[in-house]
Amino acid sequence: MSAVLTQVVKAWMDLGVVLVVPVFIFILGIFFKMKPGRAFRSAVLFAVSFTGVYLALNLLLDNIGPAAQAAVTRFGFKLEILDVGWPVLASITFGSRFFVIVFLGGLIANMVMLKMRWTKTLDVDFQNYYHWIFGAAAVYFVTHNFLLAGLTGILLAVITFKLADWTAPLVEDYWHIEGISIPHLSTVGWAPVYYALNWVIDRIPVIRDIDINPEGVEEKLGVFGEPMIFSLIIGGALGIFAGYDFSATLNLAINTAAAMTILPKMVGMLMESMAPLSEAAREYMQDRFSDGKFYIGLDVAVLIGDPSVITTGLLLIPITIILAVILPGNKTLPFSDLGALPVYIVWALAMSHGNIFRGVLMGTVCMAGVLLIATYFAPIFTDLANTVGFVSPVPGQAITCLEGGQQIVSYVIVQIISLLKSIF
Amino acid sequence: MFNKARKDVPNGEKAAYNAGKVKIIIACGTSVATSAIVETLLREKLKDNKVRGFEIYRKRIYDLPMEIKQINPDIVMTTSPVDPAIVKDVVYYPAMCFLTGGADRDRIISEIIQYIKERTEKKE
Repeated sequence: MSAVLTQVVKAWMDLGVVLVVPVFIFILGIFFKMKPGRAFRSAVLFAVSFTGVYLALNLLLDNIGPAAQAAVTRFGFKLEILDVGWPVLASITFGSRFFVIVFLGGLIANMVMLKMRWTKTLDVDFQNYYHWIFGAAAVYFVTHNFLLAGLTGILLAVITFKLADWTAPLVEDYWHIEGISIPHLSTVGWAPVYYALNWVIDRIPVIRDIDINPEGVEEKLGVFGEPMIFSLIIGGALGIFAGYDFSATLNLAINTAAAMTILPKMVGMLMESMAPLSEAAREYMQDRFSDGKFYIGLDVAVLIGDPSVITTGLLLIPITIILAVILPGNKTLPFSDLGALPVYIVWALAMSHGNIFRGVLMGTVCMAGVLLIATYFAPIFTDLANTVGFVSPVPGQAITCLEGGQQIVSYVIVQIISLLKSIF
Repeated sequence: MFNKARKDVPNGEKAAYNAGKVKIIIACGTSVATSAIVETLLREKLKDNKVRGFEIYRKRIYDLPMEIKQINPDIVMTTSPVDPAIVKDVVYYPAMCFLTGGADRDRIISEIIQYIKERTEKKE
């Protein structure tokens, strides 16, 4: 019997991402009492949008890949790893074989911890379960142990809920939003670092007294931060560095802008496909935990409207580009995720009460870490992308994203496991 | 009846005659994730109530001042609290309740349905 089951599961997994995950989404949808038609539509939309992500990423890699390589050979340019952006990270993790085990493991861990009163966070932000899946994949890359990888995914979920509990009072103090916590691992993972940096700044004379208000800066930075215009400029600049002629440079600029405008839309569709499932799962969990006082765990996006957060994030864009060039050990060319920088520093602003001077200072230190971790994770990211079918047209082209560099908790766990592995 | 309802719609006069459809901007951090949840749920509710004559745009919160100028929307929803000055000329709804569930969400949905229906009836 189990042999038959193994055969069935294996045959199913061999169908490939575009079919495996939709089937799972359909089954999970039925479990959470979605109507079959609605669940079926979600499953098909997932497959369709995943195919769309594939097309858009290929457009990006087909154009940026060879240009970056030409620039590398021409100038000995060391930033050879492309930042393809968090939407790609989310897509490849949802498409990976760890999706099922980590998704269910995280969900069950959350319910057990709520039942036992070990956490107050009811995590209904299912789209961000991908952070744990990436951590699991990273551990698998290092150990080739599927069980250990799965357990790491669940451990990351547990850490996420605890960090979300810890930072929840800040959400109420700074944003005045009640009853919400942010189980978003890549941002709350950095919260302890920001806490330490803020503590240090509090003890430096003069520096600790500087307080800058954001008004006015944000409108001036707006156009530069828009992905379409921004990627047009970066694409053009890369063409010039690559030694392309006028027409090839313009084509590169437009193709880069096209890919960067289409890619988020495709991933947006992927998120739409998961929205009804999120809604059904949220109702299921809230029905079971309606008593007692809980935080509802949401995406970090609910904190992003704050002017100090936006301004600091936009100021960090040029700083990150400069850092990437001068930072020893960095090989990541920051690009796709630059527009998402405001997300990274929400806790820095909450802890410094909206002081953008401190936000930029702390953000700069952390972006150095993000670049180095993104560089470290590049082989893992590239391997994961290859296993779900995203292969760069330039042989050996490594890809990563700044959001991967945000996964500091996974980085620490992978480091510990590597260390233990080298001892035993 | 229509005029009475229109009084609490800021800028309603201008928007109503400028465009045929009710334009709704839903904004979040990246225009990818949480705004997708809001859009999906809103579309389903509007479809269930047989409401037509609307267009939904998903945008980033940072670009809102610029997008409001370009799109000239009737309704703006954001998943994160924003500076009230940015949305002072439109009908604004906080959309976080779409992520958490609850009574606020049902109220907002029925207000939007009401708004769109009144606009389409007026046209006919």
